[in-house]
Amino acid sequence: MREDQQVQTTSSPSDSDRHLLARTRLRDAAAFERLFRRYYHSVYRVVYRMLGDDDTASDVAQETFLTLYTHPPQLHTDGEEIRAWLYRVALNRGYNALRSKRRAQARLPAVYESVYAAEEAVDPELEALRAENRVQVRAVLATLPERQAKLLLLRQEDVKYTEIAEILEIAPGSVGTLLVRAERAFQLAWNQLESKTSPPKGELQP
Amino acid sequence: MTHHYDDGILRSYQDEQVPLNQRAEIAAHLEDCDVCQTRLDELSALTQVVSGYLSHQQGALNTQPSVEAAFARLQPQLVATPAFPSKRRSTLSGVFARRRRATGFGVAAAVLLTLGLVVGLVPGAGAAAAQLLQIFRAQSVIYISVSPTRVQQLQQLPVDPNTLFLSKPSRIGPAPTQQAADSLTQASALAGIGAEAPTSFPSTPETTAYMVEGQSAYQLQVNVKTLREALATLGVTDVTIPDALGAQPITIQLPPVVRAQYEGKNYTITLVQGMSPTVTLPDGVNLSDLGRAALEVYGMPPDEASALSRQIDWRSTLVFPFPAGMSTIQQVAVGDAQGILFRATKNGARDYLIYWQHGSHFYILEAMGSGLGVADALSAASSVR
Repeated sequence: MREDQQVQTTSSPSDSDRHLLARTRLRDAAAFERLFRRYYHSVYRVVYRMLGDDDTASDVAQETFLTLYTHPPQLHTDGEEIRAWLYRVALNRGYNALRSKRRAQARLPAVYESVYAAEEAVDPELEALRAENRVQVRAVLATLPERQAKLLLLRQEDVKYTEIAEILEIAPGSVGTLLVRAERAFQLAWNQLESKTSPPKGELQP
Repeated sequence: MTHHYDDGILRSYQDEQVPLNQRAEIAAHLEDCDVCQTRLDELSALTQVVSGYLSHQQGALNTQPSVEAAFARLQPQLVATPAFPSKRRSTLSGVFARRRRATGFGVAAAVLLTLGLVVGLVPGAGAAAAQLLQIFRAQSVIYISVSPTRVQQLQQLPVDPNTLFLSKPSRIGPAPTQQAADSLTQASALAGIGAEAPTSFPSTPETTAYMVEGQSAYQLQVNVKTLREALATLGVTDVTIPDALGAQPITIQLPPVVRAQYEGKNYTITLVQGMSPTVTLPDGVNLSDLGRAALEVYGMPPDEASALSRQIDWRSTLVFPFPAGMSTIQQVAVGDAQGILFRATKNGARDYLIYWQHGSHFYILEAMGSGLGVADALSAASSVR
């Protein structure tokens, strides 16, 4: 190689997302690991909120990162863009898991029981209430249109509107409106489900 | 107050997601407008309730899983992942993927082709041609166009892909190492070659990454019987396939390769370069005969094939067949060398792949992206000197 053939490039810093992603594309496991460490918790959290169950959330997070490794996306900026991509993949997979789980759970009361049994209660009554709530949150999310469920979960993670717009591929200006619609739909579905199942603890306070 | 803000704006305001100047404007409006202020309060209450329910999901989130454990769990799957970019991202990178496809036809056909005995351009000349590099210490390349009729005959060859005349190549020794490098100089040193770089890009690259894949070796076995049958089907009768060809495995040594990736606005250019692989054939095999058979397989009349075959040094010449009359594959000039260009389009993004060779040094340049033209790809390839 001749030195005068060296390319002058404005390389991004060596630990920037783009750089790490480029290396991931070349199957550099160390670079991938850094991305993994950087974003694992964010991804896990948003999926956990959706699924409320550690095993499935871990699986979905794993699959999401495996996709990042096997099919790294083409990104043009640092930071938010890769997180947006990860959220998008994770939420799609999570939502599928949520739907299939929901289909598998034919009757809600049965789930209540299993959750009661599974929870390791510190304060049994409070834990029971929480567990019940978690099941109902999942049930409600599963009945919502996919985009609404994702919107709520992303906003719950304090994801900025611009990023939400990118993840869900919607206009940034419409995020507020869609969010209000999603919240109303959530509340309506919650109330309907509650009147149907009449949980034993009376009105649930957030 | 004559106007009111809609729910969307108020919700954005509540989340502090409106631009600063608009924020001040809304705040001023809210001071004076009870209607909007009341709606904002309602929206905030709604958010609080819903977010309250959703926060119950948090539960176990207080004890987040350890990243170490999660990564440890993922690791075995990473190791199992082939070390080359997927075809989903790039339609063409699969073409030159050195790891073979799991099932054999493309692979086997390709390997045969390097022996000068192509029996299939399925699933595309690209895939077959791709494998050439692995198995030749080529110093020069001849590109041979194959007529559409011949391509069709080759595709219809009654060969069961699973019992083809070549066994699936198996690796000898350890998997090749993958090592990142910080610069082209370092990558060159690691690979033991004088690696080069393109100097012409559509725009200045924003990111550059280098990876060196260490050497590796493979072997495969020829099934002489089925090979003879295939040749007979194609009407190639003047070449005798010696038993020796199937007596011992063929070994293929792949020297280290340098993979450099340049990313810029709306494009990614990847340059793979290295020394051509070396192929060791069993004793008693006449390469010239095999080469002549190959030329006939590509559709050349026997006398022409025989004449050309005598002029070629088969130990160092790569015969690179490509289907004629296809807009997606064409011969191109890369500087003073002859190369071959494959083009594809996926989801509106262009994907060009150029293969060429200088002496025993081979180059594969892939250019992808929405903002690319064929001229950009060729210009990048030609700038590698």
